[in-house]
Amino acid sequence: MKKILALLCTAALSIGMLAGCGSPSGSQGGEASGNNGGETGKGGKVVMLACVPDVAEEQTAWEEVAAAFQEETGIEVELRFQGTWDEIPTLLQESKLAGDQVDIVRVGIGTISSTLGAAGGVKDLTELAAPLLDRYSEGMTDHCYIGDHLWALPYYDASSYMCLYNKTLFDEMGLQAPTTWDELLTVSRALSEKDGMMPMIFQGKDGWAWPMMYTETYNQATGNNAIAAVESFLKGETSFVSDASVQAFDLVKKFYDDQVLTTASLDTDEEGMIATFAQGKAGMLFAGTWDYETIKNSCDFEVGAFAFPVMVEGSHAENGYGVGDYALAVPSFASDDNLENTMRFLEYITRQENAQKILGTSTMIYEVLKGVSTEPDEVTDFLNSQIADNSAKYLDWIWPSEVNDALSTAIVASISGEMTSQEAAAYVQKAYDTVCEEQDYTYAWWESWTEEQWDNVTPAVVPDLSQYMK
Amino acid sequence: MRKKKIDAFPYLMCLAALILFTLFVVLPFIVGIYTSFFKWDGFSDMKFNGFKNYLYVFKDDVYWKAIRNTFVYAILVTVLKNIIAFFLASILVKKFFGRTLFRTAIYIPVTLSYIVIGILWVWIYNPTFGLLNSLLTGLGLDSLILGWLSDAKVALYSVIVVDVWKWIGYHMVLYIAGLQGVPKDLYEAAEIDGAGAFAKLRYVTIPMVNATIVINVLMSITGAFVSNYDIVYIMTDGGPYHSTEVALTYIMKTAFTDYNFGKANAMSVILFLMVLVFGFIQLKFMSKEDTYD
Repeated sequence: MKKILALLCTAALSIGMLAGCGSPSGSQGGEASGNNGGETGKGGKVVMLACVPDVAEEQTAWEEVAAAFQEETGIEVELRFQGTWDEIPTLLQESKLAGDQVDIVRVGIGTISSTLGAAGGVKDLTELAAPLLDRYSEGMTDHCYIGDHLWALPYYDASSYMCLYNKTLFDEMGLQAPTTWDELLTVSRALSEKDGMMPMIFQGKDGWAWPMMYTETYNQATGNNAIAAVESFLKGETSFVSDASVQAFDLVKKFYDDQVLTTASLDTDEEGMIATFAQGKAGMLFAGTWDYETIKNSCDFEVGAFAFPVMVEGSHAENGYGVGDYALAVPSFASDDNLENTMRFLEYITRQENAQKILGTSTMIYEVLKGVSTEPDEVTDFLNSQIADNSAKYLDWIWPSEVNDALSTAIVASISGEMTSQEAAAYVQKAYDTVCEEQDYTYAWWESWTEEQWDNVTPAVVPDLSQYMK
Repeated sequence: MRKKKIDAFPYLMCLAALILFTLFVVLPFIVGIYTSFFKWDGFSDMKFNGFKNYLYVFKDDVYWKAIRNTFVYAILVTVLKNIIAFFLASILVKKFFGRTLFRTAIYIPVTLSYIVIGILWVWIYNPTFGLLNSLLTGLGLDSLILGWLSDAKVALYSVIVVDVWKWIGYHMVLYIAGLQGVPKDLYEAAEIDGAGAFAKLRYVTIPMVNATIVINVLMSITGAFVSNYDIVYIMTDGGPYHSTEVALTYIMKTAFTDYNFGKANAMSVILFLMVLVFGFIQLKFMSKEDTYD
């Protein structure tokens, strides 16, 4: 009897474990394709996969809006907030392999550009989302077009690189925000003379951050023609070992050679950078606007912004900029039968009042969706003024991750004197050659796609959204 | 002739564990080997690639740098953990006031996760706020201040120190258990024979705790090979310029940043074979049947 009981317990435990490992959506994903989104909710069900929001209030707002949507339409919305933004492609892969239902994925347009798009991972939204484009401010969907096709709808603040300074300290010391390299040097020397003060701090310990600074110097080194230069390189028409690329490495190194940045920046990560600046141990900072809210809340002094200094004669400052850090896309494996529900939810959340409720939970520097904004200040006004003529798309949204990683490695090696700028450029070129050889990388993948590949991402039906639009 | 009856009960009890092990270890491993012969980004259809992924791995300088770092890491961590843990155990096995406090204090890092420890030590190493540099400045040793995690020459060793610090308590406890099992009369006999402290260590202690040494070394070396991902990822993510890159961090980047699953799996298979050979040699070299049992 004891033996039988032991065996039964073991069997129950094993079955329990195996059941626990099953997909959370279970059979819903499978049924979704034939049942207009599964059995839950009168009108079906929409599943959205997104990373856990940085701000807890945002998640609550999503839940409230989803509940209101269900009340209005009878369509249930399952919000799957999981992991961090860089884990989303992996989670999406897992969902695809497990046969889970995912109708919307919130993912960076950079990821779509470098990975998901070429792999046929998301649907072409050009026709599907056309009725919603009027809700976006001018130019705010531009970065979501790849090869003249729309792959996602931005649903977060836009972002850019920024230079901030401790305005209170500058005023006390009688310093002005620098506009040229010489002025930056003068300010840096003055700050260095103050006890224990670093002129500028940067998150150099985070490898991914280095292309930010390189983007700024490369924009200038190419005569504000960086995108065309990078496209030419990625198409294999030109080598990365060019005067502009080498000069851009030299210019990043100049920040260290001229003591604007100290070696402390090499050992400082994002949190360390914010803490250093907020505690008044550095007078200036170079970061991304996604850090602005934390910086603003951490500093007990007034913060000002200035443009990246002009380092190349004949060029002007041009910030890296992007709309679509978080964008809403439809996975290619999502059922076409559920597209109407999916698009109705997208229509609902892009309504001004709903978008304000969700996106307004954190600082909106740029007005991506018309009328969706938060209280502006001097810094956000300055950053907005830079968009038109002083910004260029992020380079790491254009080139593959292998090239980006090689660039990060090469910059640190060049600063540390392990590589010359020429060698650093050659290192990046080698990474590009490798990715071409190993993965048949093609920059303009959309040009060489077969009809079958297009069919895979083209929705079979285009629901008429106009009947639902307010 | 009477047929021997086979009792199925023990096998049935093992069956569940065996099925789970097959499903979650053996099967993924076989799938991993299978996909190493394909070009696959996780979304598109897999394309047969033959041995090309293995060829790409052999040509990949960063992978071999990561393998070299992995071996340096594993060997140094193993040696340091065991020497320090043995030294501490030989002190803390003796009775003195505050012994329990010291044992507990040394063991506490074992209970913390790599995430907590990684973040803690990143702040300790921080050049602006870090305790280490502040301590060196306070002692007037400014010349010893380094970019602990940014200088490619020292970054790997800085990470190794943290791993050693985390685990010495664990190995110390095992050594204490081993040392407590050595009969006191052996030391008395050795003393009568005129043995000094070193001779007692060489001819009494080490042979008597050989089984504990083998277990400790095996555990620390396999741990260092396959559990170094978290600490490296948290502290340096393989930087600066791959100077702290270990095989696992590079495999993860290849799979989940570059979405090159075929190549990543080829890397894993090569690493597995290397660890298998290394482990086998180590086991053969270190275990002696007479004392191990």
